[in-house]
Amino acid sequence: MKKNISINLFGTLYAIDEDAYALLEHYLDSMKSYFSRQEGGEEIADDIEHRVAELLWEQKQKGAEAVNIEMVRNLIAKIGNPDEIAGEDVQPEASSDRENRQTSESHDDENVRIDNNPFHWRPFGGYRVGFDGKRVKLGSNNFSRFKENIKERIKNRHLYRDPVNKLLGGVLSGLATYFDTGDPLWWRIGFFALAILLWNFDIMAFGLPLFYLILWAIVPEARTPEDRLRMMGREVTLENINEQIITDSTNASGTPNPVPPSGGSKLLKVLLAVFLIICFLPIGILLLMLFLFIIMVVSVFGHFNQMIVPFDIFPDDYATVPEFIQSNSAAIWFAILFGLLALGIPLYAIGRALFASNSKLSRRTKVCLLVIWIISLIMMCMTFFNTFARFMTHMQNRPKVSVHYGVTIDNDTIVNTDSLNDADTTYYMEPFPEYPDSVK
Amino acid sequence: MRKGMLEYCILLLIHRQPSYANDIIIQLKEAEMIVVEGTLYPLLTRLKNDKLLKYEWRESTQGPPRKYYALTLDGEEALRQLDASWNQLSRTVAILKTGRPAWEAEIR
Repeated sequence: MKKNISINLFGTLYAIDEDAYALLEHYLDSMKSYFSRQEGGEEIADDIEHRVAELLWEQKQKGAEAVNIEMVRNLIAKIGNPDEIAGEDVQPEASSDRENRQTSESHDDENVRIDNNPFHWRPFGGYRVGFDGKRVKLGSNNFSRFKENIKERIKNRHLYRDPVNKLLGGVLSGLATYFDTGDPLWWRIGFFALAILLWNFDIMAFGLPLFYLILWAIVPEARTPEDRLRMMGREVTLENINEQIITDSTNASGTPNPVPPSGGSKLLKVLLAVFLIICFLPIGILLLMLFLFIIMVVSVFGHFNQMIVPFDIFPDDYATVPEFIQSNSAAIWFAILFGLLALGIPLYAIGRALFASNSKLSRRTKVCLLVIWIISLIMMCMTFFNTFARFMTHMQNRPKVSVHYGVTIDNDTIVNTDSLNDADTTYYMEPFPEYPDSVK
Repeated sequence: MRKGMLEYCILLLIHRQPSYANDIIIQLKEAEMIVVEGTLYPLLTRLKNDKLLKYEWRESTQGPPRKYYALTLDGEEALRQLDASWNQLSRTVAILKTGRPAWEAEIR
């Protein structure tokens, strides 16, 4: 069973198998990139695309329900690869490029490096020309043989992260491929064993995971068939690429995701999410607090006539605050609820945009969320304002029972009398009958 | 040599009647001139860029729209020249092969 894609070629729909589609897409892409170096190259690629469409049409007329990979391969054999096509026509620079690359590579492949610069980094051994003009092999011991071995293994290979065999980021499977050790499972076991071992050393506890993250960040993913060929140290030719596409698709035909997903890397998203949560939450809370502070100030000035000290809003004794909360609990819960909505909806949106970019929200859901967000923002402001205004009045009207708690009272003088000289003395309730009258 | 031949053949075919790529491909394949079809497209594009060919799109009842190529005046002229040099060439080859003058070969 194969997944089927429907494509539109010049106005006609064709049902095409997923692997066949990958091959065909790659074929047309390589045509485009090949001829783009030539004058009128786009037109040539376009003509070829037309020809492809025509051949597919013929197949469709013959009654082929879906285009399969065999048909695409026949089609490519019929039309020819860019190399064959250009082989009889103008030779673009590409081929000479490739030759150059090959010669330089074969130069590299010789294990012999003649290099007199003693500071030149020779990670895998090599030779140095001694003073007598003879080649001196560097470090001819077991270690260098080990290095030679590694050098042999990674010959022509490029380090990539392997998206096909990956668990998390494909770093270890990439390393396994790079060093040609086969199954990445042993790398994983080793990695976790080492990580657990290092856990006991305080400084190194996060060393290995950190190392992994760094590798994840800097090592590219082998996303295209070309990358995967390079990863495995094979020559990048069109035949190899086509073969790779076919093996990729057959290897992964059982898994839900045969072509590794392209687009931004997962690592970046994870880091970004952590960063956003770290930044956004405090910023959001700070903004909220600033906002509340503004509301506070506004309401303080709104009640300016009655208020004397703007910052004396919190009573010396908090006894009345729970009382207020109790009597206004509904309003406060509302305020909290709306506040959570106002903060949570943008967070949710950001999270979705980062992690579920391929499953888009429907338009209706988006509009709903937006409306809810705006309403909750407005409601949050209003409830906060309202509650706060009431809180202010509550604080002003409160019986100042506690003002003089803990104040040392002399027989003659009372410390902290200033607060009693307020304009709102009318509200003042005498808690202690034994206070001397002179205080008033 | 082969490349030049191919161009000549294409011009000949299109001279006979305006045609689109598939016609040309079928006839060239019959004549065993080309192996892979793709070879044709760069040539056609180059001939068109050299103003020897012109083309027009025609809707097709079978499949995608087709490019019908036809010779321009320059193309006709170039074909005449190619014809002349081809005749010249074949005569030369005939003479060399038989070792006799051309008129004699023609009489036989």
